Amino acid sequence: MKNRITELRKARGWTQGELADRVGVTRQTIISLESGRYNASLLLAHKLAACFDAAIEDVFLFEEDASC
Amino acid sequence: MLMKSFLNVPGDYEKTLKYRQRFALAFLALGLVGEVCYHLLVPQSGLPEFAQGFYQGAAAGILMGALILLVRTRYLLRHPEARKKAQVKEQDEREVTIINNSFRLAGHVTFFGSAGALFIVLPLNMGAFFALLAAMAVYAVTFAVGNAYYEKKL
Repeated sequence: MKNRITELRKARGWTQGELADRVGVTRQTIISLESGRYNASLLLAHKLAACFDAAIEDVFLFEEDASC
Repeated sequence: MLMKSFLNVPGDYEKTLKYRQRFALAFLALGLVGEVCYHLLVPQSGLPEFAQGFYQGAAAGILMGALILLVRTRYLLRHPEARKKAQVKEQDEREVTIINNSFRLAGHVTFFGSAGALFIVLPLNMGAFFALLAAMAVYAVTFAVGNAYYEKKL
């Protein structure tokens, strides 16, 4: 799963540490999310989307066909 | 890390710390009992040197571990900034995933390593064979109970 966290974070001028503080995770987690090594839980995805004032699907890009 | 993952009250970090503080005090008492017994009872017990060393090491280990846990917990309870940092670090979902995956890996290695070791230990020492077999049985039963519990819970 790809994401736009780096792009959205930089657009707001936040550091990784600032974003980490806002969503209550460590900076290392933000680094891992941005590099695509770690996929966020639904709860963290929701927090990140809320933090960016965006929908989850605008932050996280599902590669597989998620339609039901 | 292992102790922390067990001594956890979901959703309330301050309660978790108070719970850990009580646990640390109980373990401190246990370590003290071990040390007292080591000094008063073990010298006259006739236990082999290795067993005496193990006795002292276990008692001292429990005592030190409990002391470290107690000091750290009390510090976090009195310093809100440090508590917040510790909470984020401890409840960070990536950290939790890492710990859970490590537990799983350790469990697999222990179980399958023990299964392999049974073949080596059997001709050498029957006591060790049965101890290893018992540990594997406990693992298997715990897995079955855990599986049944989570099947209902989740």
